[in-house]
Formats: sequence, C-alpha cells, structure tokens
Amino acid sequence: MKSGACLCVVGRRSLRELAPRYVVALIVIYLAAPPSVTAEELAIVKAAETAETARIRAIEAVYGSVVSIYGNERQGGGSGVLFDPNGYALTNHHVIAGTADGGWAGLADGKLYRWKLVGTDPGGDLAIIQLAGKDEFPYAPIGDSESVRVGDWALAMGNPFALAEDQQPSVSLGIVSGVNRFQEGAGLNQLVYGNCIQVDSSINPGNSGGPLFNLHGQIIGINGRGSFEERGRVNVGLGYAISANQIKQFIPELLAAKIAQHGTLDCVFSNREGGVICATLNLDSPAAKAGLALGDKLIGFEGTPISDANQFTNLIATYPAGWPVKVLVEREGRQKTLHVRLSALPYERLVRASIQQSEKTPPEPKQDKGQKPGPREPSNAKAFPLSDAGKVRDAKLNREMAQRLISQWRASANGGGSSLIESKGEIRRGGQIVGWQILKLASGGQVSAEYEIDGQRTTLLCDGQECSKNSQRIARGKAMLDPHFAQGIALAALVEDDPFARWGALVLDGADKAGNRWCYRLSVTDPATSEQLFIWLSAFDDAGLPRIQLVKTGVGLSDDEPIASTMYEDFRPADGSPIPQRLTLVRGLAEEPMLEIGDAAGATPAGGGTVAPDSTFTAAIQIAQQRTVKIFGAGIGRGAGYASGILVGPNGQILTTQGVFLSAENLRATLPDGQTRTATVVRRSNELQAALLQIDSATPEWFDLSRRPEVTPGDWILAVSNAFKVTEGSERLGVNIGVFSMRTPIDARRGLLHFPYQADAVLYDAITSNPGAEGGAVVTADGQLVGIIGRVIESRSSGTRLNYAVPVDALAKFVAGEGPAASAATPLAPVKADLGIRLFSLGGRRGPAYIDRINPGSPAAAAGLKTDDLIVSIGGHVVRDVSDFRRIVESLRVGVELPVEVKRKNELITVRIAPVEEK
Amino acid sequence: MNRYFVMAIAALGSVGAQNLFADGTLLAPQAFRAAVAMVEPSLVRIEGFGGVSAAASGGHPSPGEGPTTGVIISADGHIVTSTFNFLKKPPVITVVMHNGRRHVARLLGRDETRKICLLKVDGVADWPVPSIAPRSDLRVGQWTVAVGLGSGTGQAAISAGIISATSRISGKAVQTDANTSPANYGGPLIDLDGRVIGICVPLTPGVQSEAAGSEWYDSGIGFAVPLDGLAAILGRLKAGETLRHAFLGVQVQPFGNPPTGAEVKTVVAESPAAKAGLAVGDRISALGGVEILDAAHLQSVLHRHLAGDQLEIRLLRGDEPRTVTAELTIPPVPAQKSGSRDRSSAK
Repeated sequence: MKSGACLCVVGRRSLRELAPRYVVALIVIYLAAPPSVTAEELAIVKAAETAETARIRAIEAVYGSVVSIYGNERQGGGSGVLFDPNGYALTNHHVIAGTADGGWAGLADGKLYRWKLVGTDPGGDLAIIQLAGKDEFPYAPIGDSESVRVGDWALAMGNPFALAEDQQPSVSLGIVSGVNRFQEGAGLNQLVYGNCIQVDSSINPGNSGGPLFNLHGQIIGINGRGSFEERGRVNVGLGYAISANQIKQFIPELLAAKIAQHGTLDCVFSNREGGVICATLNLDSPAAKAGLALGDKLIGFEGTPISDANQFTNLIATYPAGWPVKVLVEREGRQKTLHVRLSALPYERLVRASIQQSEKTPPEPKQDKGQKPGPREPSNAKAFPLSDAGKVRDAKLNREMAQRLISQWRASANGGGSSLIESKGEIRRGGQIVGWQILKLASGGQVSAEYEIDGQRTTLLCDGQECSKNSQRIARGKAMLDPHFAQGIALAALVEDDPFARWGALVLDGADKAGNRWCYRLSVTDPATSEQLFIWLSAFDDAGLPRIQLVKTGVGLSDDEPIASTMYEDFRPADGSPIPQRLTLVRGLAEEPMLEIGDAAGATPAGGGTVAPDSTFTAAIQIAQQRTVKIFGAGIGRGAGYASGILVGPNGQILTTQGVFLSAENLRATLPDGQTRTATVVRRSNELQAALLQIDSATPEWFDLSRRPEVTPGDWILAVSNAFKVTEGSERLGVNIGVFSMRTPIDARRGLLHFPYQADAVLYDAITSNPGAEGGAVVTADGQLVGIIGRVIESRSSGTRLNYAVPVDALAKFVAGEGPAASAATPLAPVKADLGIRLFSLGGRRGPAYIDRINPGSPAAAAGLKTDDLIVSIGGHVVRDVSDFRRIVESLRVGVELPVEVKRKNELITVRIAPVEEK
Repeated sequence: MNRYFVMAIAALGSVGAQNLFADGTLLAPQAFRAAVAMVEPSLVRIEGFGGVSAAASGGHPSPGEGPTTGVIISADGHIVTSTFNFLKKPPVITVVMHNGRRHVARLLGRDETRKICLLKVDGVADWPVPSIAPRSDLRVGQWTVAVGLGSGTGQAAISAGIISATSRISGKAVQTDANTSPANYGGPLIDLDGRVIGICVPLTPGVQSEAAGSEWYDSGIGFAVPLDGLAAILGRLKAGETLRHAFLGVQVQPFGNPPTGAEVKTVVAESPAAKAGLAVGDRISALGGVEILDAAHLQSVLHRHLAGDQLEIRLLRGDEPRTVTAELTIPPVPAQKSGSRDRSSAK
C-alpha cells in the first residue's frame, strides 16, 4: 500500500533544501522512508523532482529579467526581457509600435519603471527599450540559437493577456517544435521571421516580445508570433520566436538608436538544374562589384552550406544591412569566396490600413502561405518614420550610448588608475620576425608609436595638441590613418578620462562583425580632415553576457581598403590595465592576416559558451519525422487543402485522415527528403475517418503497424505533423509534446455534423486539433507509433476540441482490409425493447427523467419502480434527461437483464430489469 | 521497475545538469502517475439531471453539460467543485465515488468570484480527503498535473504542466500551463506528491459572467483556486452563502510619476464609495492596508475583497490624509442586462 502522507512529510521541502547534494538527499529519504513505499518508487519520484528543482532554479535566476510592457496610460501590453544591467530590454517592434516611444514597464519586483524607445527593427520585429529608475537591473544572458535542437525544453515567459496584476511574469513549458522556420512578413520587408524557432510552449497575446529560455536560463529567442485560427486568439500549440543569433546581430544596431534595416545581396537566387543559381542581379550592387555574376551557383553563406533557394532567403533575412558576409559560389566548376557588405532592403509604406493599438491585437500569423495577409505595419508609428530607415533616430541617445560603451570597455578593462601604458612587441610576418613596435600612451592625449618593419623605421608622436611623423608635422586626422598609431589612440582610452574627445566626434555606427564576433562599431571623425577611425568592440562574451572588449581598429570598411586594420587578442594585465598581448594587422573584410605584433605564443580565447542540448526526445522525433509526410490537395471552405500522413509500408503506402483535400485531382505527398509524388486514394474508412493512399515511390523508412506500444497515463507522447502548413519541401515537420491521458470511445461532432467515428480514441494533452495536423504521427518517447492525429472535432458533452489519435491497432486492421476495429456501437435490436416506463414529458426532451407512470405487469412494475422516481442510470449509462432515456432504451435488447438506478426522495435504489418486447 | 531504479540512481548520481534534465524527463511520467494515484480516491464524478434547456446555444450542447469533477474535502461528504459545472442549474445532482458508488448530493453555497461551490453528501463518513499543498510551497516552474473525470469514461483525464504564476486574479488563483477545460473544471491541480494545489476553474480577470474563462480552455493559460488559506471561505459556503464580486463605485486614473496611487475621477451616486464619503480628486493610496500602485492595481486589490466586506480606504484629500471605511456591495445590474432578463422571465 502506498502512503501519500509520508511522501508529503518526508518529501519535497527537505529535498529542495538539499537539492544540490541530491545524493545526500536520496540517502536521507531512504532512511526516512517507511517500508510501505518501495525504494524504487521513491527514487523515481525524487529523480523527477530533482530535475524539477533544477528547472525551478533556472527560472528563478532569470525571473527578474522579464518585463511587462505597457503604454503611457498603462494600456495594451506586451513583454520584454532585460539583457543588460543598464536597463536595456528586448521586445518586439509590433509591441512598441502600438505604444509609441515610451510607457511603463513592470518587473517581477512588483514595481513599475519608465521606459523609452532606443531603436527598432520593423523588418525583423525587434526593438530595444531602456528602463529607468534603478542603478542595476537584473538581466539574462543571450544563448546560441544554433545549438537549439528540436525536442529541447523551452520556457516562454511574459505577460499573456496582461494577467500579471502583480507584474510577476507567467512561465510556460514546452519543447522546441522546429528550427530554421520562416514566417512571412507584411508590407515591404517588414515583420519577417527568418530562421526562427517554432515552439509548443504556450504563447498567447501579450507574450509578444518576451523571452524564450532554455533550461539553462539563456535567452534562445524572443517570442513574437503564433498560429491562431477560428478558435480565436489563444494558443493552439504553435508559437514562433526570433532566434537569439539574429538578436545578437541586431542589438548593436538598435542600441545605436537606429531604425534598423535588413541586408540583401541585391540579387535573386532560384532553384535551377539542381542548384541555387543567381538568376537576377543588380549590376551596380556591392555583390556584383565583389565579383558575383549571373549564373553563379550559391553553395555557402556565412559558413552555412546552401542547397535550396528558400533556405538562403530564410537565412539572409536575419542579417542587418551593412553586415560583412562570406559568400561561397561555384562558377564553371571552380569555387570562389566573395566578401561583401550587404545592401539595405528598403521599407515602404505599402500598408497603412491597420493600426496596431496594443498587444490585444498582435499581428495575424500566416495561415496559408501567400493567401492570408500577415502582420501589418503600424501606421501610427510617428516615433520611427520608415522613411528614416537606416538612420539614427536620436543623435543624443546615440552619442550617450557610444560614451557608455567606451566606459563599459574601460570598466571591464579595470583601468586600475594607471596613467601610462607602454607596450613593446616584435613584428612577425608568417612567423618570421621582421621588426618591432613600441607604443607609449599617457593621459592628456600623449600617444607615440615607434616601429620598424623590414628595416624601415617610423615614429609617430602626438603631444595632445600636435602630431608629427618622423619629425614632420602632420594633421591629426592623417596620423589616425597609421594602423600602429591608431592602436595607440584606441588603447589610450584606457588611461584617458574622456577618451577620443580630442580626436573627434565619437558616434555608434551600429552592428558589425569583426574577428567573427558580434560587435559594436564606433567611429571617431577628425573635424579638420573628416578622416575616420573605426573601433570595433565585442557586444557579448562567450556566455552571452554584455561584456565589452576591444576587437579591432581600422580606417576602412570596404573590402578593398588599402590601409590595414588591427585585431586585438589575448588581454592580460600589464601596468595595471589588461592590454592585448597579441595584435594582428589584417586586410579586407576577410581580415586576412599580414603582420603579427607581440607574443606569438598568445593563447586563443577559449570557445565554450555553447550548451549541449537536452536531447531526451531527439531520437523519437527523428524517427517520426522520417516516417511522416506532408499531403497537399484541394481546400474547400473551412476544410484545409493539406494534411499530414504516415508511411506504413516500404512501397509508398500512406495513411492519413479523411478530408476535403482527398478530393483533389492532383493529390500530392511530399516525402521527408522533399520529393513530391502524386498520390491516389486506395481505400477509405468511414468508421476510422481514415484513408489509405498510394504513391509510386520506394519508402524505406515506415511505421510497422503490427507493433503496439504500451502506453500508460502520464507517458510522454510526441505529435509530429504539418499543422498550419508551416513546412514545405524537405523542411522538418513540427513536433508537439504532451502526456497520454486515456483510450476511450468518443462522442463527437464536426461543426454541426455528427462525427461517424467508431473506434476508440487515444486522448492526450498535446494540442493537435489543428488544420494540417490531421494524419500526423503520434509516437512514444522512444519513437513507437501510438496512432495518427485525428480530424478536428468537438466533444459533444463539453463542446471543446479533442486532441486525439486513431490508435495503431485500429489502423492496422484497416490497412489489412479487415474493416473497423471492434465497433463501440451496439447494433439496433431487431425488436423494440420496453421497460414499461412512461416519463413526465412536460420538461421536454431536456427535462429530468422522472417516472410518470408504470405500466401494470411490466418489468418496471415487477422491479418495484414507482411514479416520481428519477431514473439516474440504465446499464451503467447516465440518464441525464428524457432524451438520454429514449436513446438508451432504443438500444436495449429484449430479455437481457441490466441494472436501473433511480433516485427516490434522497435515496438511490438500484433494481435489475429485463426488458420485454414492445407491444 | 528495476530498470527505472537504475536510471534513477544514474540521474541522482550525475553531476551534469544535462543528464538531470534528460533522466528527470524520462522519469516524470511515473511521478505523474504516482501523484494521480494518490488523489484519485478523493475525486468524484458529478452528474446533473435535468436543468436549463440547451436550446439557447443553437442546438449545440451548452458547456458543462457532461459529467464533471469534484474533490472531497471532508470525511463527512463535503465536495468542492466549480460553479461552471452547474451552468444548467440541474435540480438533481449525484456524485459517483472512485469505487463506483453513486450518492445524491446537495448544492451548498458558491463563491462567484472564484467559480467554486460546495456539494454535500449526507450520512457518510470516512471519505478520503487529499492532502493540500501549502501555498508557500508553490514555486513557478514546478510540475503540475490537472486531473478530471469530465470525459465521462470513468477514467481520469490528465494533463501535465508547470506552475506559470503563483498569484493571479487578485490572488485568488494559481496559474498553470497544464490544459484545463470542462474535462477537469472542478478537479484538482496537483503536485508530484499528489497534494492538491487548487481546484481547476475557468477564470478571466475583470469578466464576471459564469462561463467566462472557458474560452481559454486548453490554451496553456489555466487557473486553479488554492485550497490552502480558504477555510474561511469554505466555512461560508458550508453555511450556504453566495459570495459575490465587490463593487466600490469609483472611476480612477493614475496619479504621480511613477504612479503612487489612483486619483478618483468619478464617484457613482449611492455607491459604497459615495456612502463612505469619497470625492472626485481624492487620491487613494491604500485599500485594506495594501498600497495602491496605480489605477489598474486598484482594481486588482479591490477584487481581493467580496461584496459585503468592510474595506478600509486610505486617501489624500489635498494634502490631508484620511481613512474611511466603505461597505462593498454587489455591482449594480447594467440597464441592458436587466432588459434581457425581463424578456426571459416573460416567456
């Protein structure tokens, strides 16, 4: 016998306190456990609880970083997340577009803070706001979305439906359903979700702009959209988050107080002849000037192999304008690498109709690609006219940010109050020593750089006022052009109180890549010569925290800039300040090394920061994805023209559900590898609402219907399907997680129509009652088929949608041609049965089944039933009203005795009655 | 069982958080089952006989038509459930115990703000009462399982989730992302120890109609009314009371920057606010001892109270601090609604 009480007493509190030392906790519990609970059972519960405790701690660590965002009148509302102690928070463009450029923000401490808009990205639906009113805000690290795997747990946090009266965010748990998803935008190049994450963590209106965390408390995305349909604006298991890596690419752009733009190569690639071919190209574009030509085959972009034009469209949507990219193309069998900065995609005020007033009306998601309008550009956004796209919208804010970044760099370098730095190093070319360099920097603007390369010696000096090169006076702007001297200017920031002030105007240009890191690019412009010195500061450390470090200095941004730039690495303390021990002079966007300065043996900073995914479900999901197909047919009215199906044999046998899509002349199935085949309907089952299709193709991976998994209530199930037609071609199908609840006959309807389903249904709590999900695979945590997702239906008793699968055993019989599984329906009795009871009918069919009269000599009379008895159940079936009574009596068989339960006054009486033939 | 034992030890012994999550995940279903098994004897299936016609919903069955769920809270036959389950106002109610025995039940009082009510089965003793999770034990992110008998098959429908927030709807509810729906309204939301966190109910902030909140079924936004700390309310329900939403009778706007209270914009004539002497321009700083952040917060704090409660209001009139007490009433019936009620009573 189990004892619930002892688990309560011994259980969780002690475990919570001991959680980090769980082995100890286990021993304690063993000793305290009464013999009535087996050690195995306890160990299982405790292991589950230890993981639970770890999750709770992960949530607690980042809970304070989640923001509820309101307008000035506390209206509307969305969510956000702080990623920097200075109060900078990420949110969606469409959230701030509804609230203009300021308002109130609530944190988990229950307090409200003022926020103001810093920068926004209408193209990628991202924005940064700054909260005020606290010296140091709690904040969360930004993770690596490339390490996110389908099946990983994901926590969505935010303020759905503005429920957080106390400003404490809502947290929902789900799994990553898909990666590399594309969600179309609106207007021209706006609100596009490229390379985004699909999740089944519950995301509802109000969650927009809030974070999606992994179980390690790292931001892996910003939730912004969901698939909704006729159920209205509530979660149905498909949400979409902007990926963390896109976010990291845009943060410096947004902190520059800009209206960000997205990048383009200014050309169109199409799938042709088995390749991704450059089909049209603007010959004036930077890409063309960098060497891209019509007919070039694209094979790589920023290190990712490209095999499909849509994949490229998906990927490039995540890059800001001006971003330096590496493009790998093939021409006449030869590979060629191009380095080019992306051009800016324009915005246009194409759509003015819809005004997003608040998160109560967040953008409509895509339902059918190309059929339904996506989100619309808010036209009340006076704070960020799209005509100013690409520009800094608030110059003062930008200058302040630039100063703040320099201060943060100085702080992280931990200046130590030194006022003088001297740095000496050897200069190598390809490992050979070719010279030396000495930098001397002192506060007050004194910078000197002395170096000798290949026997040629150069001395640059600046005393804070005037500069000289090899004893000749030169303009300060010209001195900046020397890369060695520029190193001195940059490093002098560590000893200057007001760095760069004497060199010119400091501004934050925005986002850029340097040394393969996400960087802020700042520029100092000499007022006399207009010469510019660029300074690249890293935006994040390897843990995704906002730690600033010097990465690069240079005077050019184009690939053909003749003057070298300097890369900085291996920061180690010297004279009180950590200064870079290894400097490298590089050329072009490829940052090709030319000369190395300093300690050749300098260590490369350790990588790390990436997190191994929690891959509990990965194998099962892959098994299901490899055996599930996308089916496309014809849609009629509300009936979707698409569905999912599972492969059930090696020669192209597919099982799916009934649906209008089957009536299409060109019914098609897209296999997991992206191949599309014409399908024909072999057989249909009305009782299972299923159909067997055939395609002309070998299908080596298929579900063996003869295998029946054992599932017990509470077991995990994974549902793999093409709900809402989110995927096309070879894109992996989405997955939703849930637990198995029960196997039971169902009484359901489709709209107003009776649902003629006759088999048992497998009920679970994953949300699969969605268009397109029908026919998808439901598998156990070890990948065994439980059944196929059934059609969208509603329960007759509750009116709610049922999430269920047609069980595998019923499907096996259907495929084998054995007809329906054991039918739950009792065949109509050839003769009408009678109990001899007449009911009060004044209450109509919906009135309670009170007995009005008992026919003398009838079975009911013999059993002792009386007038005014209320019939409660017959044969175990509840008789809620007169119509229930009639329905049940119609199905009775003459002579078969069964219990009838009646309520007489306040007592329940059960009698046994055998119906007789009706006279 | 042995296989799982080995896995459990592996999970407990490993130092990496990775294995912890993975193995904990694989073991969670057994923990869910163990928890459900503990609470199941305390669940009853509720059936209503007769009641208001479903014709109003256009031929569709109205919500709450099927069997629903209740939780035994006293050995002598008190059952707590959701008012959602009696939208049809059935004249006869029975409950079926875990052992299959049916009993006739009486409907006692109800709390319209929490959407819960009490049933009583007379002449019984030694009914199994579940343990109740203290509210102070609840943590955002812990596992929850919603259990219900509303699917009508006699089997418990279960849905797993986590606690999304520990205090919602003026503190009256815990929020979970487990699926809640007519399948488990009135049933318990439990923790891994099988303790009852709360009773699943449909709720929406600000909306007071009987079925409000059920439109969020299975959306990942679910609510459960905690039983811990509810003794006083349950006592009133045992006495047959109907507890209703509170009405004060002021419209307010935010005051201060950052907001430090709510400024009275209008006072409804004859309302509790008017009777307590509140005036336009008063700045309300606290209700019932709780500091008011702003206008929205005032609504939330007000609804922690019920009609009939005495509410202490701290305010500033000009620079002068004052404290008044209002006796909250039920909200006045809007003109339109009373019209429709007239029509229905006429037929």
